[in-house]
Amino acid sequence: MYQPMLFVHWKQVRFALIPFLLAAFGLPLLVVQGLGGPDMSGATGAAAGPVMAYRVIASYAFWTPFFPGLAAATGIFLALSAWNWDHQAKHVYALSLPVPRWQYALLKMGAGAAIAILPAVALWGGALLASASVTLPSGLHAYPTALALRFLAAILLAYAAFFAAAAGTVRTTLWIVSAALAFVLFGNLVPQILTALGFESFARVDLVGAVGEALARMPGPFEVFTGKWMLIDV
Amino acid sequence: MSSAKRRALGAALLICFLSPPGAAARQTDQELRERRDSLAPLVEAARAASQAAMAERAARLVAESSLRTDTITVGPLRVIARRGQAETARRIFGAVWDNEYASFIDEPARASVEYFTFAWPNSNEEVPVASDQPVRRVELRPWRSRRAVERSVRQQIAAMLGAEIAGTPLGGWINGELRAPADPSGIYRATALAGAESTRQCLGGDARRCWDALGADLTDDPFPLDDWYSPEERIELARAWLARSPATRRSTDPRFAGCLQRALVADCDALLEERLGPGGGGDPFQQVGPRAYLAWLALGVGGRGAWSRMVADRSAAPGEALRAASGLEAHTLAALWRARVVESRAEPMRILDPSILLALVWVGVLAALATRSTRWRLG
Repeated sequence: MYQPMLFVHWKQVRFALIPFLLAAFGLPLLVVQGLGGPDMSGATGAAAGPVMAYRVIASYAFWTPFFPGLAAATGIFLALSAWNWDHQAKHVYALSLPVPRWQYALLKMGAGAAIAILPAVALWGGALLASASVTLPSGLHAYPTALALRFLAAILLAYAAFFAAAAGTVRTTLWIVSAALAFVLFGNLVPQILTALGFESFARVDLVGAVGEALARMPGPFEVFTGKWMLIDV
Repeated sequence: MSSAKRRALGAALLICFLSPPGAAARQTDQELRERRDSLAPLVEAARAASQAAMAERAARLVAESSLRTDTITVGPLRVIARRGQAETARRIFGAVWDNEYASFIDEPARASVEYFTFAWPNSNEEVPVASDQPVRRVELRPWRSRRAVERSVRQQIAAMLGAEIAGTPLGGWINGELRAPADPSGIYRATALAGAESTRQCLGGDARRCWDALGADLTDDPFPLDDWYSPEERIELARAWLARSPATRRSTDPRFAGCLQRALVADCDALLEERLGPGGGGDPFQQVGPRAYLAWLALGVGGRGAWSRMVADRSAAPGEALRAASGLEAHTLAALWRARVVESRAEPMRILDPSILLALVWVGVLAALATRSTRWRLG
């Protein structure tokens, strides 16, 4: 039962997945660009690279958000594509299968999770290649495997969150996404209204920020997105 | 703003605007010193006007406020707390002061003129204080944690100590808050990423090079590029800086060609020093943390009276002040700093980081939620 589910999902996403695979492979290479490469006078490699590598790595922060961003985009894409044909066919195909709903959902989720390994492998390959292409100064180390595993965990998390949201009807999914968006946009009006009603303690409360902090820090679900995303570190 | 303060600030601004652009660069050190000294009375007048304005505002606040307060002392600190919160203030200030400061500070001079306020939970109204000196406020909302309140107390004490060394070579060298580092691993990181031969040799075990890299013995001399960076590093630094300058390619200065094309260290050094000027930066540590941490360690090692010894001579070079505070020779203090920094190195990225495991747990939770969807039963 699992194999046909995997095949159907793969068939659905294989072409659309190519840009994600390319991005995952290329991002680590972008991060190390300029390290050990030619400088403006034409000198190359060890003559010019290692010293400035420190400073390039210090400015690595620019690239950091792209890793969790790509992971989230990949996970969301896989989750939405997983339920796509069910919604289109009004779940008739799924109803005709001799399995209970929970088992069907788990099989489907497992199929998507297996496909999620591909972009993580692509990133791992890119990270290994990127690490091998630079001469690291003493004190610095490359962490391609740890980065790839974090990337995989982040894809799976984004995938699971949107898979669960999309498991109901399209209307349910829209409700969940709209509620989240509305909270982000208007959540901070709540403390203002409470303050106007006389609850002065709520003045200057950043409700959206506090909820975001709780979700993004340990033991919140999205901590993996806000942690260390370093290909090269001390 | 009072009229006296306005006049003083106006005069200072006028002097700045009337100075021809680039003139300062052509002036000699002597001329600059004379100019600085001539501005001193003006600055003093502005300061007096500012103090008068602060006193006026404080008096108005006290007159208008309906808040009742209690004044307590914690060590040398005077704390004005909201009525009913004096005990909490005593506990929190006491914990921070006793654990972190009491061992090396007896009586900071600023503690006799500055007040701290305490309100946790606070309201929209500030705790009123009748003082013409800066007031260090620890006033936080009820949902802030005790840890956040303690952090605020620490910040305010550090600000008071910072005010005490402001204007001294030590204060300029630290150029930030003097307190225990919130994240010691960041100091290791700053050192490892400094990209200088001196910091590499420092982390490699040569404590004297740590002292050189921290630049505690520097005063008004041009910064010692050759002490911090190897010749190759200086060439690379110069090339990186020059590459960003649009004037580089247009210039006919032979030193540009010497540095960029022939990699001549002398030319690169000359260009770097010209660009940066005396004390104009270029040191390996761009962040505040490493230097403040050295000063913090010096105080901790020095024990009782260390703070008084550190600030006793306001004209002392930072290195002298640190030696006086700690009672240690430079290389011993630097070795201690190095050992602590290396100890505090954060764990490198791990294959199975706790956050990855946590993410997998949440994936399981979300999978369980997905299986509970009622599409079939209700649909």
